[in-house]
Amino acid sequence: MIPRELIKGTLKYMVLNLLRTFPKMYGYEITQVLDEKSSGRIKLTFAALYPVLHKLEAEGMVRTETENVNNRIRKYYSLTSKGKKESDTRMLEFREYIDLMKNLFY
Amino acid sequence: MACLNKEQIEFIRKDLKQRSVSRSFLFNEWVDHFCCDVETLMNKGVSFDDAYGHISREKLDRDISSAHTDVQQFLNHKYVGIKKLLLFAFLLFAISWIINLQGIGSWIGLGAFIILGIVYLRVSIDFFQKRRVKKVNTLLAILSLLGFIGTLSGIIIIFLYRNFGFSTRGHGVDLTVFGWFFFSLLCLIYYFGEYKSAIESREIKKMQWLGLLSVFNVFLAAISIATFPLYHMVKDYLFFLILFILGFDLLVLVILLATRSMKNTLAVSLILGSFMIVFIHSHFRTKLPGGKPKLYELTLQLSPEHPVGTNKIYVSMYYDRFPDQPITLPLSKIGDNLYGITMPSYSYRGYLYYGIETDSSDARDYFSRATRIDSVRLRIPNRKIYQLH
Repeated sequence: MIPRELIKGTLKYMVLNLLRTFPKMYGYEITQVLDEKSSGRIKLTFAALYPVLHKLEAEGMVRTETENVNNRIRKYYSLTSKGKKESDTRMLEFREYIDLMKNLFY
Repeated sequence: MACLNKEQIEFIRKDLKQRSVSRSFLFNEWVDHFCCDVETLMNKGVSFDDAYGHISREKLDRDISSAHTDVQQFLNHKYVGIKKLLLFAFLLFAISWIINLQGIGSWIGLGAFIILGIVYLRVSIDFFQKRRVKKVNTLLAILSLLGFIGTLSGIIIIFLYRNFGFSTRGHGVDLTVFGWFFFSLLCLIYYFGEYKSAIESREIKKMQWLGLLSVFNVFLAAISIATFPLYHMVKDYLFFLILFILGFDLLVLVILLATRSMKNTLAVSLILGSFMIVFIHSHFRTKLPGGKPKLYELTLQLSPEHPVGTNKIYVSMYYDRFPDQPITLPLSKIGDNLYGITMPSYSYRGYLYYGIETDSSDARDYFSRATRIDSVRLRIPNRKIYQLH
């Protein structure tokens, strides 16, 4: 399992990157995709995911829409145009950071 | 593909309501999350009861509560920083009145209100940043900004008046009370929205209470504003209004402390701000050691050719804003043809017009009679001896 601190620090980037790939996603779907892509090593908790999603929404990075699915309300998140531009920049920064970490540790 | 039926979804809804999820902005999202989790297990052949039991055990109340608090804190502006800043402002305010010698006239007193203004500005920025979450946040940001402008400009004007004799025509008071009014209106709209989004009975009651508190504050601020144009009619009752507001604020503060509701930053900002603004306009400030301003001495030297021969003379004067309300001050003899009185540094400062008589009623009537001495422009305090002939 990946330490919680590492996940917490990079979750924003993970969510942004997922939303660049998928046009719209809901909370549970995000947890499942991350779980699947990380082969079960990243398991998101409620406490970690929803504050990040709401913060991204408040920053204008993502927009939300609700749909009635199987007798319950589902909230979908998708990137705004600002979010797309910002996420491009942030992902670039994040890749630079990963390269830096690689150089530092290996 | 297993799909939960209406009864099963309703069961999950009821259970979540009992597990610290009290607000609708998270509730629907989490119901869906729980349902998805249960459906995934049911797809593996597990029954609803077992699947839900497993998910419930996995997602502890503590985690749900923590996530709920995190999002709620983020959305509800319960920032530790703002609260600390607010309490610091109140502490400075108390110090300025208890220890300092000039109350609001001092830099400490001014600092307290500048920090209160910064709290309002911080709240405004916070709402503005969250304008995409709710449209009403833009309105709340504007109201908080108006609160900031009113409080800060009002207090700076009062400070300039009391320390440097700037003629402000009482607008400092008006601006601070307007600042309070706008912030109360913000709280009213905010807590009404919170009340509408509350789903748990305890949360509904709490928001109801905070909403009523805001309504009452809007009412009190509106009454205070109404006293400006009606000053001459209501001036005898202002003391009771101020007494009531201060008493009410203290009572609410005690209730907030007793019910551990101090985390509601907006409500605390409203009450502390209201108390600070009303207190500086009340007579209670002079009851504290810090409320007593610096005193200056006004000395009048009468012409030796016209000795008065009494131990007291009376100066009748009025502030240029209220010519129909002259006041009469007794000046005691302090030397040959020399009469003096001590007065607060900020009182009677600026351009005043006066007449002098040896009798107080004559002095009071001075303005209605023919002018026997020319009116003199008086600027206090200059530590001067004014010579009258």
